[in-house]
Amino acid sequence: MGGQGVLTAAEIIAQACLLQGFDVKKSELHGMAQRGGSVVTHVRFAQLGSVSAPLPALRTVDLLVGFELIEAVRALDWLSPQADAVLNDLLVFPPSSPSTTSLSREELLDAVKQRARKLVTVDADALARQAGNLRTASTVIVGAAAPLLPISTDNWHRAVQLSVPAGTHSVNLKAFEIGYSHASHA
Amino acid sequence: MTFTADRVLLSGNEAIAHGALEAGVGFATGYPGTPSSEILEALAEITSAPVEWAPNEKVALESAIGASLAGTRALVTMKHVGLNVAADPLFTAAYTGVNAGLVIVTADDPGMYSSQNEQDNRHYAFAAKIPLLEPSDSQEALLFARRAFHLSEQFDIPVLLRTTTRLSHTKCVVTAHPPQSPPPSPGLADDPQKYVMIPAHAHDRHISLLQRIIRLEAISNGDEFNHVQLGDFRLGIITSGVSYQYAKEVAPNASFLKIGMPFPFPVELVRKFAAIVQRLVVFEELDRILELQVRALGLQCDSKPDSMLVGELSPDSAAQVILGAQPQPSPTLSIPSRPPILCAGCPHRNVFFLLNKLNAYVAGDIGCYTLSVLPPLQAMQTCLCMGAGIGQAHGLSQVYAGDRPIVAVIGDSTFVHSGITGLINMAYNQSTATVIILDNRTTAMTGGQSHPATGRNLRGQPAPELDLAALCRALGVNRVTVIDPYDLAQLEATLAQETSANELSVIIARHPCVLLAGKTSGTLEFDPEVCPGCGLCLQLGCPALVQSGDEEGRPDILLATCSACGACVQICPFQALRIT
Repeated sequence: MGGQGVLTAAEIIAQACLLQGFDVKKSELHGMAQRGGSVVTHVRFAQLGSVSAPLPALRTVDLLVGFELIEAVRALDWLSPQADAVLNDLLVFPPSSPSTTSLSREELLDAVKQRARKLVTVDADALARQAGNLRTASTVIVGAAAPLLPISTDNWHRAVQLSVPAGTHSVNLKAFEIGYSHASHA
Repeated sequence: MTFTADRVLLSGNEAIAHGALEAGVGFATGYPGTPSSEILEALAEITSAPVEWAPNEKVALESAIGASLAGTRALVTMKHVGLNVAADPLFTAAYTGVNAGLVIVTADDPGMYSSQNEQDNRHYAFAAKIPLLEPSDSQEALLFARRAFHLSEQFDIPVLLRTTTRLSHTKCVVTAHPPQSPPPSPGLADDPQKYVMIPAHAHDRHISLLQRIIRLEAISNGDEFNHVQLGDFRLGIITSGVSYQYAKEVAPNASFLKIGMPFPFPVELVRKFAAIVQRLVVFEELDRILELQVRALGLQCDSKPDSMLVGELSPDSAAQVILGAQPQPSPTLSIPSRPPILCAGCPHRNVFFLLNKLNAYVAGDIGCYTLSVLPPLQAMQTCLCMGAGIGQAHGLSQVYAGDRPIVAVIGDSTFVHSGITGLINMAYNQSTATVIILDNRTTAMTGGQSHPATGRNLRGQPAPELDLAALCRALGVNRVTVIDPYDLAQLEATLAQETSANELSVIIARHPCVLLAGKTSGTLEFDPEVCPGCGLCLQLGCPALVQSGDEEGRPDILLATCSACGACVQICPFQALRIT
């Protein structure tokens, strides 16, 4: 959802790919992001060779990083049959949705489990509080996704520092580590 | 700032800024418009040359032409509909040509992610007869932007550089270089036969224009922008822009004619390419511009279905057109859509809540406030283009004889862009409508840029501040009221008074955008015991007040999202909400 730090999270991942020596393209849409609408960002990287399309074809995405459950389900058509999913365990109904909408957290998680090979969930807000700042929730989520990506710890740390506001490096690094260790033990 | 030739991640927009810098650009201007806005913002950080927001795109292009006349390379940026506003100087500037290089960036929006239409601005190059450059990734955006200034001077013509949302907002790995030392200035241009377009002069310049285009054909048919990649000769794909990347993704071994300069159209190159390959496919986004040029040469080709005239393309579209793949439907759980909405604390919210209550007929305009058309506010009946709310309200009020109040609603930046002439029309032709200027002290939807009524310039430095109330009075509006829309009672009284007055009135609803000014101090408290679940507060459509799903219909308060603006507090008939 707009306002959750999706673009910053994708920036961290893209910078980490670049530091690791991969070719990378990161696709984002501005303007609407802060108005609470759906935000989808794609990061495509090639360990060898180069990336052509900034957008993937449907059913080819390897990793879904979801910041909210309804949005994660909205993105399921992107996933390849062997995809993994790292989800923030947060459900926020759109304010304009009709009051007759009844969707449970379990239904949404089930829909993801049917499409993803491996599912990791994380309570990003709770872990961000542990790190010391609620606004590091998006970095927690990146940390939780990191074990599934072929990038060194050093490069992750440098990428976080490159992508977050000055003065927030140490709290964000802490948030990253908390997310990482949570996912590694899951 | 130090530069290295290292690999960096740059968006298409950032890359254009870097390319312009490398070409020694000395003056840059435009009007914010997604997806172009970041070009000037990025440029302002890497050069000390003047980089400005103009009130609108016509003024921007004219001032850039002025800089070019003075011998300085100039850049103008805008979104696709912005070129409609700048079209007047554009067409005649093709005739006059340039002094120092002049490059115009049009950032189109296939899929209309944040626009009123998805017009294909490649048409402008063909219509105005100016060279068109279309990069396919950030590295090309940098190279084409840099080269465009030289091309403009070499051929004495403004150059149109066209990007799309997916290119402007995708970050790719780019090699940037230090800026070259600025080229020697051609000095001040003093040549009335070339620049003063009276008919006699314009006649000669039109002939010159056609000759300049013929000379440009040598570049178009060369290798620099339009590039043949020989692969499997059984399949030849003519494509451009981001579509090239999609086609390359699905058919990497095909032969390609990658078009980076669609106008002048590379007739010789296309004929040669068509002669080599067995099956020719044209794959392009939006209108069939390349395709119709290919067919005009008498060449057979496959192309996309009409359904792909609408919206953005993708690798799946390429697979369908090039490989004949069938789209697969995929059953998923039915989930509610999540459209963007006004932020918690947005000062526009109260205005639209009350306009809906008044059953006003609202001629709206372009900005965050256009979101008021969506439920639950549902308080806008028409929104067409910049400044049109005022124009339409005038026409409506001149002939409508019914009960609904006719109200124009327009933002501060939009008003300065193209609402002033509309208001002059209303005063001069004696309209009786009400105009509400939503003054949130910024150009919000595009990212919070400054404008002439904010008191700051593009770089955030102090600038003279246009006095909107004084301006309205000077235009001949007698009833001008300035209020704070956070005060619901005063707003309601003012709206009732001004809409029932049988005279033109302007209400300036002034309160800073909540993204600029931050949250109001205080914490919202909700007493569920007192709340009977009437649902009135939920009619505000505030993201901090959501349906809880409880049987009584009481709301849930999301405190982390709430900005303590007090709108719900003032609306609640039962005093179930308060700020402490």
